[in-house]
Amino acid sequence: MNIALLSHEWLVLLLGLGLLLADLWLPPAARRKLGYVAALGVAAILLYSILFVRLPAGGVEYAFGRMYILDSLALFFKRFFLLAALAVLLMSVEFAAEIQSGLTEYYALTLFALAGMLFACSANDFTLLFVSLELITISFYILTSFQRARTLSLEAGVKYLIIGALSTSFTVFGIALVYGTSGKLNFQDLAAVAPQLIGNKLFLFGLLWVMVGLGFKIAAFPFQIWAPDVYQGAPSPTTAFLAIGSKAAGFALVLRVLFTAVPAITAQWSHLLIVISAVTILYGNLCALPQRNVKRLLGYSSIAHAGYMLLGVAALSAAGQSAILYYLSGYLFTVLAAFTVICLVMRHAEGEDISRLAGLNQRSPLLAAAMALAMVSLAGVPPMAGFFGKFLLFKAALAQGATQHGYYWLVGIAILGVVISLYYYFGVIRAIYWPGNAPDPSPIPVSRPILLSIYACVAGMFFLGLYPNPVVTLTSKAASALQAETAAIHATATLPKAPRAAWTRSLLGPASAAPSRP
Amino acid sequence: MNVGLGHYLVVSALLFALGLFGVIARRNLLVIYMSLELMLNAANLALVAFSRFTNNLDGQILVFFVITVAAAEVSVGLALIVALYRKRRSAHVEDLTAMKL
Amino acid sequence: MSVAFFIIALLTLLSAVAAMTLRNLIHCALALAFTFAGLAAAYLQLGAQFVGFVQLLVYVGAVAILIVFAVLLTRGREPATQGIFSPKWPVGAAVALGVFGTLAGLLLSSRVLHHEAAAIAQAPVRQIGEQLMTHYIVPLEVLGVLLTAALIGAVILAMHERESDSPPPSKT
Repeated sequence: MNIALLSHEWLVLLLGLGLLLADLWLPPAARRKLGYVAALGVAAILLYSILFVRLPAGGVEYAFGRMYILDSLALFFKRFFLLAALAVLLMSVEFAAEIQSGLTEYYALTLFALAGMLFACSANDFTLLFVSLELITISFYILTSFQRARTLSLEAGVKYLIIGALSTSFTVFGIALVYGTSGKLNFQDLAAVAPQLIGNKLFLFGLLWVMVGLGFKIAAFPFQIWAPDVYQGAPSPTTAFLAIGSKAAGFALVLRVLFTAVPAITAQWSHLLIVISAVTILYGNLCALPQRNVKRLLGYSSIAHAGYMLLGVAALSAAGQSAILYYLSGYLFTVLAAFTVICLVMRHAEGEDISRLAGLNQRSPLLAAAMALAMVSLAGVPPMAGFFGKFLLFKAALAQGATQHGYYWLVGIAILGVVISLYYYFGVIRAIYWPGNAPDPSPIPVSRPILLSIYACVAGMFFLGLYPNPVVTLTSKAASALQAETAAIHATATLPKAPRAAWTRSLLGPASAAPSRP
Repeated sequence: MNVGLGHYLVVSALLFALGLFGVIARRNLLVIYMSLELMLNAANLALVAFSRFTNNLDGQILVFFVITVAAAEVSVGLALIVALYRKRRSAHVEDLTAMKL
Repeated sequence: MSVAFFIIALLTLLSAVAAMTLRNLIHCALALAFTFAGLAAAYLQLGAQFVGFVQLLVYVGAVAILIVFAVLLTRGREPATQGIFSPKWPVGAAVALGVFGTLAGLLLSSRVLHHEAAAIAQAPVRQIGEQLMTHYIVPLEVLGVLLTAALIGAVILAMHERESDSPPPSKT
């Protein structure tokens, strides 16, 4: 039954390959509509996942010799990515006119990146972590530079490529050091031996370099340099997917590696995590202040948001991990709403200067309201999703303040960051509602699927801000999977283990398949 | 003198540092990309050496994955660099207006 | 064994230095190809036949050739008077030295070095194949998707724009 565990991934891949095949027989004019087919397909997979995919009684299932894990955390992220891809695909249909050639390939590559994210959140081994991260990254190299007619898009692609390949080299070397010192690639095997390796500097150094690659994905300081340029240069739907999907996949793996594979070592890294979180928050917010380009501004703001979420990692508690998931959920609706509006308003614009939003209120009150609400939520003003997410994160960090005073400082810096961010978020809102002369007063047509997507995003922002309980239950259940697995590892680590001859590793068969934990 | 794991790892670290130097110091995008490949190869050497001296096959399998991924990345990366060159008629980092490394 | 190792290591490192410092890009690419070949020899010497031959086929056979093609497609218009190093090369040297120093220091002080090489196992290629088809089947499938995506992407990116789409190249 191992194949059934991977149903999300197979279905998404089949959908992507089906699109590429359908492209052969379709007239060029009909290709734009394939985006709707892709979106419908993703919606169907999401529905299937919610209705039919159930975890077994133990809450966790492994496949292929514990290479692949399906627990509540993985399932949470899989649905998260499907939802994000759904909105991104709808956005891409609106964006189709801007893509000269290879529209079907654009949709298919988005689906391949989605498949990479689905695999990444189920990775339980450094091999799968590496390969799925690379699938995401390589798909994004292509998606970023898809508008070949725009030099900016190509330059963004090259920059992403260089920095991405650099971080990959560090990650691989880091994995090599971890593997060389511990002999393990599997997260659970690693967790069993990690406590003995706390004093091994080479092992710690290797882990640090593995985190470089993940830090690149979530755009945490000091691996954030690519973010503003790439956010600005990439096609808007790609930027949205990068801001949501790529970042969330990075966080899924950060949580998995830090709290499943090496929890004992993470516990000693609280200082490092606090400093990185604080610097990331300050850097993102301060650099966003002078920005005039909306996408670049959101690029810096996404760095700041990575910093807020790292606060939850630094808290080293189940509450912190749950808060990250909650924050990501709110961020999903907020960022998708913002980029959908950007995608519609600045479709034919040469630049994405904030001034192009002027008069948006007259041109389309709905889009104006959605963008303004998104900015309010990003800033973290009640009653929007961003407020409650930040509240949970700060609460989790403050709960740890008794053990270490650094947490008080961290929350103080985070609140300072929020105050700074009010200035530039409200700059955007002022541009929307300022009664000035719009550069182009014509009303903006909004198609029905996009209308639905915007309403859903706005509803999501309000729901997460006003009725947090259902989602909090969901995220704390997902975060508890990490704790349960850690506990299970410590339970088995104390048992004597039969030495295993390395060359004669048990091959996977029905009899020797990894036993699922009770 | 007996050749041990340390010798291989020092060679690997040297190659990695050389690649890093090339990435930061060279101006031509293609050479920068070559330097990145050198860094990846250095990591592979470390993996193979560890695999051999700890007598564990997993490292070699991971190297197979890394090499294949690198080949895919090279094909995309070079296509991208060539496309940018056609557009800008330059392959120097300083000529990328958006590049503020 | 030790003589062979030192010859391979020396040649590999020298060609890597050449690849990083030569002016002519074709020379750089060829030096890099030589480094790749040297690493393949090192893998073979370490008893990793499978990886050694994959390295030869993929890196020396495909990647190096691809790089040469890219060099040929982009050469020509670069002023010969400009230096090959950017002004911030001392930073690069310092960072590289720092990384090497840290890494070497950690390596030499670590207990890892005391591993003795075990006897070369029988036919590991067969075992690698079996592992790839069982334990590692999921990453292998992901790799297949990745190669598909890269294939599509390389074609899309390198494809010439249709004449109607692109403005005529400026005559500079």
